[in-house]
Amino acid sequence: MEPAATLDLRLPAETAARFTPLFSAGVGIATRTGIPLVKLLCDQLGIDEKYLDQRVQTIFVNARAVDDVTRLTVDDGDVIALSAAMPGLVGATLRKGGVLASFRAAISYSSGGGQGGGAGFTVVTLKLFNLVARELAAAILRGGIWIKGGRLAAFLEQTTPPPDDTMSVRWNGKPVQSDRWTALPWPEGWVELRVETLTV
Amino acid sequence: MDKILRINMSGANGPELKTESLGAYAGLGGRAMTSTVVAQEVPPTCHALSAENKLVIAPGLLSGSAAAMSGRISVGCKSPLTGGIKEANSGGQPSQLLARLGYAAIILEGCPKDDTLYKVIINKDGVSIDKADDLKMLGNYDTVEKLRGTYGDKFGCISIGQAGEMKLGAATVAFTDMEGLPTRHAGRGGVGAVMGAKGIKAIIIDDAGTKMREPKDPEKFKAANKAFVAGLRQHPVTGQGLPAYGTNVLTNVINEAGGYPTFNFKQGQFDGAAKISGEALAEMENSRGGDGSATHGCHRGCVIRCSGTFYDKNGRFVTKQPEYETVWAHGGNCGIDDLDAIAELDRLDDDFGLDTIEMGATIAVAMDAGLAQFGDATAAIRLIKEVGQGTPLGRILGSGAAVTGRVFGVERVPVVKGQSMPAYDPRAVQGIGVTYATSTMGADHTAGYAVTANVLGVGGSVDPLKPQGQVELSRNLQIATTAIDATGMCLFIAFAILDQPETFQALIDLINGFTGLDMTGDDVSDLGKKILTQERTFNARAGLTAAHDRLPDYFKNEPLTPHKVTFGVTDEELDQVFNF
Repeated sequence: MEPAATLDLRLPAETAARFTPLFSAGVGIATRTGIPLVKLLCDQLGIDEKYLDQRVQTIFVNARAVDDVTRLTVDDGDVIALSAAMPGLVGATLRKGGVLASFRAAISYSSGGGQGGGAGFTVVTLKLFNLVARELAAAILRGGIWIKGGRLAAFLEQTTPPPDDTMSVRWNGKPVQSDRWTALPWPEGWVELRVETLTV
Repeated sequence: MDKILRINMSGANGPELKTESLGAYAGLGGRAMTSTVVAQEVPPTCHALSAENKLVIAPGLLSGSAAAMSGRISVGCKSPLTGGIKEANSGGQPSQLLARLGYAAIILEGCPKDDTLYKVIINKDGVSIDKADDLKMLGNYDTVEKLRGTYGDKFGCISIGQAGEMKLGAATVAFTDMEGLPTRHAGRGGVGAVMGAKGIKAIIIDDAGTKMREPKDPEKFKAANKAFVAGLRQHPVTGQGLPAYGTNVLTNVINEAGGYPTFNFKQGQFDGAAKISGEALAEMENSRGGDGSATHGCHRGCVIRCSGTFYDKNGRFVTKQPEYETVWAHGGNCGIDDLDAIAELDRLDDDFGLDTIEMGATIAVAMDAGLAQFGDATAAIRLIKEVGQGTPLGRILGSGAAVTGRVFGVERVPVVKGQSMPAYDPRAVQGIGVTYATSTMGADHTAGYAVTANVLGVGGSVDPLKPQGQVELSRNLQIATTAIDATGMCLFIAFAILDQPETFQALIDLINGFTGLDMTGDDVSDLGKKILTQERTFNARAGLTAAHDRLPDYFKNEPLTPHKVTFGVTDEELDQVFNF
């Protein structure tokens, strides 16, 4: 499956950072069903294995708290959320494999992995919260996310573009003036968005 | 801290002041002090607003010293909300000031003969008490501002707002922060109503001319404090997550887990959560700027700095950064996704002297009763203002969710022992439901915290992956939390202690270096058990039974979306929590 359109942005760091909140509500990641979740996170999205093990202390798949991420495979339409360690009793309870895991046994991910099988195309939803969003968003945006045209249009409407000479915009591979980024012919379907952060 | 100040409001010729030595209360601080005094001196069956009840205000054991994170203060009494014993604690400056002046506790006793209001002034030269009718029915902000005109701007203040004067069940006791504003509150259980019943509007504390409390073993204390601070700073929660986002960092995560009570505990996820999350709040505060915007401490000596300062879009101060529980209570639980509106509600609560958790839960119950629509922030603000104005409706709302539900015939009232549940649905995270049900304090998220049993070695080891571990863990956590509450340490130190044994040892060394004692982890847990036992005994004598250690039935019967789970811990299991 191909996205309905592609949008490539090269932005100064300050503007690029404003795209991080997109991950709170979740962004689409095009992948294949049946692959190990760790493979999606580390091989496809480029998350360092040590980072996933140590920094990412709280993982949800389809709103269920995960204790052992290595046992999961990607299922069609999965919603995957990653967070750093959280404060509070309940925050500690939600940690993967924590000593308080029994507190949330009713919402723990209990199966051995996704049931999808096969190797079909899917767009999963990836949510990144707090420090993890701050630290991973730029790299994942550089690799590309999928986002519905209407949502991206509404988001860009709220984002002031920087001066034209500090950025570049390409729509379906062709250059576009930056002041026109809100007036693009947004499709109803998926747009593949890539954001590259320019270094000064 | 070598003395106790008693203020008897029933004196034949007006209030009587008496300073006495610690006696049997020597060595106690914080919750250990408040609960011991209440257990020893208050008749359990008395009316909470009567002359027989006492309000005890006690700095933590290490307050007033150079120990990091030691500025919490406890307020204890028989609760007008739960009918049982109560300890509510707060940040702010007064704990450090009182401790430096040498007071281990202030005990307010008796009741005034008429409706005269008083203020108490404490400094290095002693204590005095004056009439304060000019402060009647002022909010906490105006009270402090008016006192500044008389006492300058260097004092710390403990005060009540209109809610406390009206003796409402949701009334708090306010404590001024580092900026001298009444933003910190001993919020839970209606402790402000008891202060109001004593006729005390404000306690002004000036520590000019005093020195920091000295440790018994300065070298050991200094080394332990250094290691303790290093442990807090290196931990990802206390060193990074909390300073960057505050406690509201939990919103997105609890919502993702399906445990975020929404629309008065009807569902476990809120569509507007991302808009009111800690990430969104930090971004808003950083973009608006201002002193202490997104990262700020609630008292001097805090190295975690999980608080902040909320300015409106024009840069005007509104309130301190609303905490997670406040954002949830006035936000998702009421269907409100507007951070400016939530901040205004927080400001009103602080000014009137109201518990944000209780009031958010109450407004949601009122919304269920049809007094307003879920999501209507303007209506929520109007309802809170009714409380401050003391209208008949306002007095009902200010009496808390249980009373409001009873008056308006609402079944879905999320309370235990009359106190509203905080921001975690016990159907999704059932272990916290065990704590809500069995805590001596009523539904309380801080009653059993993340100082794990495995660190303190309380009650043997627990298999974390077995559901039955919930009861044992809740028991052990409640014991550990009770002990921490006695030290005056902020509970957020728990995360570093949980993960870093050397930081736990640094805490023990800190206590020992200061007190000259040789306590072990076992001693700490024994202290927690002793305090809890006193509290349970008081509650039993006050008439609270196993039937009060239960969640409302609808948590067992109504499945919570998205997980479609009900609360599954049996009554028999709940009754095992205090078997130690």
